Amino acid sequence: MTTLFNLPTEIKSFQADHSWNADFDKIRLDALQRLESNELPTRRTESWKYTNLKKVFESELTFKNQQSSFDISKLKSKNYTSLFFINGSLSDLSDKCELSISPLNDKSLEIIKKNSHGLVNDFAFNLNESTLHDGAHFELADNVNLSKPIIIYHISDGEKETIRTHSNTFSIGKNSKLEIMEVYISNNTSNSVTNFASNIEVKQNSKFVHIHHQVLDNNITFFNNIRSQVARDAAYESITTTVGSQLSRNNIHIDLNEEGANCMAHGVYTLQKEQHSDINSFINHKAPHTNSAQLYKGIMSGKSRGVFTGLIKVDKDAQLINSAQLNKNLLLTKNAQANSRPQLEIFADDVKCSHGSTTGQLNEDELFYFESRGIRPKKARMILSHAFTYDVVLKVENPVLRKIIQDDIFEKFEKTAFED
Amino acid sequence: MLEVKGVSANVKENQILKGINFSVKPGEVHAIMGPNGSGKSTLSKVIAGHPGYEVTNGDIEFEINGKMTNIDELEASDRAREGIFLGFQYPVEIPGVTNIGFMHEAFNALCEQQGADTMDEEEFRAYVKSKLPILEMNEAFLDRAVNEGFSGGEKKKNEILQMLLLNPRLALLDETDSGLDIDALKIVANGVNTLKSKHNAVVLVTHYQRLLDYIQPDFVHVLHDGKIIKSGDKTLALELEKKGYDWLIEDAK
Repeated sequence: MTTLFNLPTEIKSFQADHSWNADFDKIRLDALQRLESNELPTRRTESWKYTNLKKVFESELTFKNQQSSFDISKLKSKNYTSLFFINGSLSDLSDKCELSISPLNDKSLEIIKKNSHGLVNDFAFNLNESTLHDGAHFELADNVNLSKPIIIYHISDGEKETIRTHSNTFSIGKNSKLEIMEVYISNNTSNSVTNFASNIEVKQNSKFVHIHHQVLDNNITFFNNIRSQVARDAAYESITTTVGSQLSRNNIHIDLNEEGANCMAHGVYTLQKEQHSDINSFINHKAPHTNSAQLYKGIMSGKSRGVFTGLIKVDKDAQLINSAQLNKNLLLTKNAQANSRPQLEIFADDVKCSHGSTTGQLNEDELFYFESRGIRPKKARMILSHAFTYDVVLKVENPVLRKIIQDDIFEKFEKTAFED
Repeated sequence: MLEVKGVSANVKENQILKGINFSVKPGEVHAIMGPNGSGKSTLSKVIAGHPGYEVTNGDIEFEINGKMTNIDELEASDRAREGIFLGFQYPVEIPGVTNIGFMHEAFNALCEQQGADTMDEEEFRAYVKSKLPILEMNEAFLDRAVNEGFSGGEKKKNEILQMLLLNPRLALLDETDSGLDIDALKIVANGVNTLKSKHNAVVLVTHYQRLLDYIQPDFVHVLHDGKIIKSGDKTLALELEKKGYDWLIEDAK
């Protein structure tokens, strides 16, 4: 039996050191209990079947605050509002922003409670919630449409053998629109675990575009937990891009609660060497006339592995819903792997649901077409792979944000994944 | 500029070509004709260096820097860079890659090889636009994905457009006439005739004689069962049109 080694002890002392109010303490204690009642996920844990955490927790990880003097100036731009969390601390608020930002508070608590049924049996989520403390509450008022997108940089700087959790809550007022890209980067960090959570409510007739762009260094484990409540005629759009990290897991849980609620959940993972990415999405259609669309695409090179599990659930009363899910994987080498599990649970009888999955290699005819025009095989593979993910990247409508993603995929993946 | 010397070739262990000999000089137009399954397409792919085709016997020589050079070991992209172009019978659709982006990449690859200056996007677009009227294509084709959703005729025009842009020394056109109506056929033929000069050569692979009404061949070779069973001038094509292939095949036995 694989035990949770020193984690519960560490978590308990974290909780003691960061005691808060009774409500928060209870949420954390409940999460710890759930964590302790389960072992570390193994191959027998259905939702973690293809992702082995043993290596990650082999070394003893501790919660500690690492000081940093990271220079953020080069990450700023007039094209977006930037916010910085360095090793978990909100570090710079010099950019003006119509979004109100505060430490986690009673409103956070309310949003967390609204989301309380999502991901509760998930190891990564429970690990996050049992140490709920660092993070911020973001609130957008009614009838606000931000002129610029917001980038939240999460920077891990110089952390060694640490585990750090971070939790944000978002409340999007009625008739408003918000676009946030959270970017995960690291500098000089090694053998560490970062674990993020977003608890979200999108109120009536609003739209929240929420991008998670992960370009961490290779020796960092990344967990990301998204839980979102979507109200009448509102939309939540999730896009996750996985470029970095040795092992990453994105948990996405979206509840479409009222008529006209929509969500998109898209993602790209570009993996090489021994990278491992796991996407676990759950779209919960709880009301009639709700829509969801999902497109996840992965390219695996080297000995990397991409895992996708996507469950669409349609409640008994959720008639006339529309739901589509597609996972496509491209394997560049014979040692690369993809595991894809599209799942449906439908209890209503008048719905439109489609789901599918493909895994394949680059097409020989396409490659020869390039080569017959003088384009080298390596370049041809690069262009074809780029084209493979491009439709997902295009889901990021904002050209400034899209370019950041595109450039990172090029720098961190396309430039190195095609060595002959 | 091209010498095919006793070439035999296999696809997945099946022998398709069984000792092909022919040679092409600059300025010439050759037509390779023959019934379905005779090995015509295979021959053009073998010369272009398709990795799925294995040459088991014989040599292919191509003039590189003024010297006849054995190109057996050159991969397809190298052959293209040395001036061999293959017009595909079934041009490949490539979702997500724009037509102009694809052509630009190819064009700059060839410039690089020849030590010529590459073009930036703007220059290249202007260059491509100068060639569009020859094929009666409009600019919208440039920004669509390569061949995606193109009609049969549009795909073939797009092949000829690429040929004109890359200006190869040897153009191998595999069934470029198949699936074309008469108007499109004339446009495509006109495109090929635009390329023709005393410096380059064209090898047309075709099942029917009708393309040869618009592109005059200097030589016609009839391929059957992986061998050239007869060569002649353009009158041979007319004879085939009248009499079909059977009489030649009978003779060959």
